[in-house]
Amino acid sequence: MAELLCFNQSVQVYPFDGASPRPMFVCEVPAQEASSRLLLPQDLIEFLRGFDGTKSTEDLIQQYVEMHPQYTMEKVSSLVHQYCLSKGLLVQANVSQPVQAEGRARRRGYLYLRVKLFSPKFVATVSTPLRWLFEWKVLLLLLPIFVLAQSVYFIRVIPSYQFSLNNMQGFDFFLVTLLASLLGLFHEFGHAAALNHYGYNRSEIGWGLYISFPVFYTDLSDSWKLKRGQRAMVDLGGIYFHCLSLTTVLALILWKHSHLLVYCFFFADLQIAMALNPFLRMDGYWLVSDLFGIADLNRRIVLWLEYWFYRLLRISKAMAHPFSDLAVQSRRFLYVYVASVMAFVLLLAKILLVQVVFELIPAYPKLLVKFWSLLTATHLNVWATFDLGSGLLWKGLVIYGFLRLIYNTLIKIASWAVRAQRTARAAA
Amino acid sequence: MKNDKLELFQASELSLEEFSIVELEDRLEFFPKCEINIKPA
Repeated sequence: MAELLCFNQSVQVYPFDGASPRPMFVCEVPAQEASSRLLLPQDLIEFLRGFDGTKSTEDLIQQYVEMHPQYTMEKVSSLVHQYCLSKGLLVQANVSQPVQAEGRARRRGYLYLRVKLFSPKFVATVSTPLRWLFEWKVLLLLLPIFVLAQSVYFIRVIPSYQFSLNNMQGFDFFLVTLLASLLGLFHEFGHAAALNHYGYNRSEIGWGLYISFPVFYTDLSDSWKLKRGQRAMVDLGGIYFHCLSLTTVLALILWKHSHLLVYCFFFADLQIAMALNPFLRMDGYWLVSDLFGIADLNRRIVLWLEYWFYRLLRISKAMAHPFSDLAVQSRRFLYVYVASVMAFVLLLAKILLVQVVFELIPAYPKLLVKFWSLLTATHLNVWATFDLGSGLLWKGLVIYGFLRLIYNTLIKIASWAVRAQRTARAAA
Repeated sequence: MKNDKLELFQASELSLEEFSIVELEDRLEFFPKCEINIKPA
């Protein structure tokens, strides 16, 4: 009996605004924990929609191969059976299928730890009344105020205070850290409010570990459905809210003359500069990705490395050039971006390697022993124990993040080696 | 670890790039949590 498959009716399809000359569509496959999203070209969507539960799978595959002679029956069959069925794009006809649920852990991806702080419901409750801040008239009104606030801070406030980090005491650092963290959370609500302004309010806010850095995050996956300009606005929504809060901080500085707030403003500005970094997956990365319409910016770089890995092994047939499907302008931009990323990653890797391998790891056992002796002392020094304990935790997370990065890199290179070996064997 | 191994084998079987398929990442917009490690003099 012929195999009958159906296009999953619960999959939602949206046009994607990107740089590819081919029309692309976002397919959202709902799942119990979190939906997964795939970007597919139009002809593939039409092929999958052809599965209506009445036509035989083999016939449909054969028709597709006739129309696309670059693919073999085996490849398309493998696409249908190995990929589309497992991803929930296709389901068996006349069989009650559970909604495709690919575990969240599988897609945690670049975030090593992920702790939810605010549920989508709570984030929606807070961000909905703030949506009006993304009206163009309001944006245009506030923008000069932000520029003025920054100018006043650097031209008037800093020279009038004895601005030196040496003037800060231990408790001041704690308070400034706390305040800057609160501003960071407000930043996240800025992203959520921007997305809410464009009609989606399912953002979750949380805390996680990215490479070796603790970060706040907002899940803005729904913004894949927006147009490029709207996505860019969502990317900038956090910094917009940060500028909004800093304007309030400046007003408080001028009113209360609090030196603590002067430092808070400074550190918040530093954070904004860091968030604009286009090489790590911070606001700047997504902004660049959206403005140039390249959804998989980071993946393209990895593919580019993979491509050169095969070229070095003289296996040119293993894969096509990863930029070949893009317009010339996007391709040029990607070359510049790749060069910048390589330089940045090498610099970051050097710093991480020195700090983790030569500093943190050798000192960690001694810290553990010290912490144990503090814990088991006759008179427990609560503050010293807490101080050392939190340091141990933070340093432990940095070491863990670094080791995960090394492990993931090795796995990736191993997968390239397997593919190279298979391709070479097939060619022979 | 199990999933990474799965990915290793999947990568060798089917090339998504060949079909222009992109698995979109969760869009987690990060913000660096404030880490101030400057010790006062």
